[in-house]
Amino acid sequence: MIEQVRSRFGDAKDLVSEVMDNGYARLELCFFPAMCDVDQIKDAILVPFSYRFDPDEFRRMLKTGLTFLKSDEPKKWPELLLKGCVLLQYEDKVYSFLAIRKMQKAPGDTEVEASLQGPQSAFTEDLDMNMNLVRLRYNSPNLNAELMEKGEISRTRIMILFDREKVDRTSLDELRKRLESIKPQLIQASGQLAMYIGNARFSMFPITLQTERPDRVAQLLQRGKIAVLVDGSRFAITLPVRFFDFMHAMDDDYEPFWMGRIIILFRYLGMVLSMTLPALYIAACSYNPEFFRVQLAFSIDGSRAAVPYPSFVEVFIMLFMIEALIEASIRLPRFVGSTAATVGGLILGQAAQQAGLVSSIMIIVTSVVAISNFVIPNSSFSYSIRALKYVFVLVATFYGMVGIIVTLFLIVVYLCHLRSFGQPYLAVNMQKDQQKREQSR
Amino acid sequence: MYRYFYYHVFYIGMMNVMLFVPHILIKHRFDGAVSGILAGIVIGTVLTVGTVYCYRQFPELGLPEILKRYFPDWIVAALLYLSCLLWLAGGVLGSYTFAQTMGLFFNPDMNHYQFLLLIIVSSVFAGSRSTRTIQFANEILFWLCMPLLLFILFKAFSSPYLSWDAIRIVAGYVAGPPSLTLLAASTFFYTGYLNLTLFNRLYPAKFRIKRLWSIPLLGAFLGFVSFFIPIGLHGTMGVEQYIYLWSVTADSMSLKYGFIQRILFIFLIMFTLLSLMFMMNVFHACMEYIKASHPRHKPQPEQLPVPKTNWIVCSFFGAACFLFSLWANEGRSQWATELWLIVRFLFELGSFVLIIVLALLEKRRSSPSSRSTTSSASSGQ
Repeated sequence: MIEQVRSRFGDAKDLVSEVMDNGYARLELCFFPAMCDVDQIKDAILVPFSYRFDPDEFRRMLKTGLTFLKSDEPKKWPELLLKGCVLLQYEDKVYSFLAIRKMQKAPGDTEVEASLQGPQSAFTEDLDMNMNLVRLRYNSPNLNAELMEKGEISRTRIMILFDREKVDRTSLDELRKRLESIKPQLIQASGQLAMYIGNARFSMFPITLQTERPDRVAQLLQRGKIAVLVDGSRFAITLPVRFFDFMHAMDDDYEPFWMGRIIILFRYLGMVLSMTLPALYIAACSYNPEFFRVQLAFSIDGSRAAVPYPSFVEVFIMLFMIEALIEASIRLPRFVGSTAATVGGLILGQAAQQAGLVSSIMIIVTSVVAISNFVIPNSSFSYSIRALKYVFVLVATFYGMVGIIVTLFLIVVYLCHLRSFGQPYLAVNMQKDQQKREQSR
Repeated sequence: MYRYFYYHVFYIGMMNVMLFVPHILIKHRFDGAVSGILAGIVIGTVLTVGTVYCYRQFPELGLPEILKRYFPDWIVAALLYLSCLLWLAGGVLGSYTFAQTMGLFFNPDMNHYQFLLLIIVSSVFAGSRSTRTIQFANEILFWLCMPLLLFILFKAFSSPYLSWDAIRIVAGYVAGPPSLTLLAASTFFYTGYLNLTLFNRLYPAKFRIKRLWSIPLLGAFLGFVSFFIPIGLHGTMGVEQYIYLWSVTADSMSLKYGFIQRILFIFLIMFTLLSLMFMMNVFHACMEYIKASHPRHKPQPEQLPVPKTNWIVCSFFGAACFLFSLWANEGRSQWATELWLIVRFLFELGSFVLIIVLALLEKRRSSPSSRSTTSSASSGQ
């Protein structure tokens, strides 16, 4: 066995292959020490084989042990070794022993979707740990789990979870069809998989929701959605989703009803502001100052007195600054991050306006845009809103106020046009309609 | 489900403002407009309720599918092209007036065609979506428009300059018989029911449009509001000076607080949305008619991705809008709109008769079979 394995791996130096002899019997052993838990190997194989050796007991252990599997097909050996198994040959029979080294022993902390009073545990980068987290919260025999492997090279394990009784069958079929049709090389993050199965590379909005919160996954499962867990990723993909799901934070369910509603209302307001405010500024400066109250129009125009170029140039400068600042604070290491924020804040805050590069109202607009954008609970959705802002700016540059309204109309139509795995993306009262339809049949 | 039906009735009823209906009514405010509106309530309600009842015979079928059951292909195609032409004309007229209004009140310096381009591009995009998408979009847009409308109405009714005397005086001229033009104009408030010809495909079997009693109320409300509020604000004589009557009327109200001072802009925002909604539906309906005129076409209310034919057909509609605007000016478009309203009215009457006949035929055709199934069921027991 050892020669076969060695030749397949091209004499990899990190592969350990030993022939052990305790005086009574021979044992051939090979494994990757980097991928295996050496303590486990010692306890399960080495101790019984060496100074507690009893041929009958050892044979019985190999035959009945839960973690020992007989694997006679030489073709599967490399695969098993790469997953973190130990291959051992005893009395001309080959067994595999699962001794995967686990990095995660405890659930992670929420980092992207923080919550004040909700559960603080998040998914980890280990699929089994994540399964544990979901099963704990969704403690029902109806929870179906299907295991899959995707990625020619990475061979990432993927788990599809759904509630057998509540799941929407058409979406499930659609998901399976799409998972079969894709042939990626590497799958490293759930976002990547979401993009492959999303089937809409040029879609402006995410049609799957990624979350790191087990409680959200449980809630969505209970509503008949499907969750896809990817090994090595902290995020679960859930689908099908609707527009409103992206604006929903888990805290809304843990707070009293009306507080939650009011916060949601503010969130929508923030979203609209973040999308349209720069465009409205352009419209107010360059096209329709009469649209607003006279005093407001005057103060906008007055603050622009020192600015030497048209409003859209100003907007582009400031939006570029703020985007750069956001990007910098995400990518930079924590220690340097605060420097970037301070420097950026200084420039954006005062200097740019005093130098006459931008108007003071534009600074307010920029900060409102940035802050409102962070109000959106889902990061991929807030990316969409960030990008859509430029569509508005572009149209407002050419058409002013009318352009903004027409773009708003187009976005509504576009959202209604989108489907998330066969389910409408933006539609109200769908559930009621469905019930009525079923009643009438 | 039935709420979707009312969204259509609502936005088409609201579109009267863009299609010079108040202008036509006000021109004849002393000779027949009031009686025209009253007659419109009766005619519109009969047409709407009758059509709704007839379509109950054809669950999940649109007009093209119904016609295909009874007529040879070429007659079906001819009828569909005719109704497509009629609706398209409405859309073209609407787009022209809309572009004019926006140009006049929003960006007077801008080239008229540039505006038209924006409108046409967005209508082509929106119209080429699938039927279900259009249905969803109608609902969302309706809820976007509704608060604005309520606000404008609130401002209008609470305005100190609204002269109820003027309204009362005009309302007194109830005696004169309405002309055909007036009838055509005043029945326009109800035309929304015609969406059933297409959107009936989406309604499931055994589906009932409830609360039909609200049709006369809704139509009468729209009619009286768009006729009497301008009179109340401009006076009985001053009101006839304006072509874009409602824009001017909205401009005569103002906001004391808030970012926006002139109600006109709230009005324009609302009408931008409503007009685009109208264009979207018109383009979509026309496109579906044209696609259905092919004998082997199968209706697909849900279609993703959007097929290329949709884009091509809708682009032709867009080109038609553009060509019209080359020919038209204010006078011509007004004349054409008036003509269109009358033709539309006659067409509606014609199609009403047709659908009644078809529904009766369908009933006769289906009743013997249903009787036989019930008898066999009872004998089986």
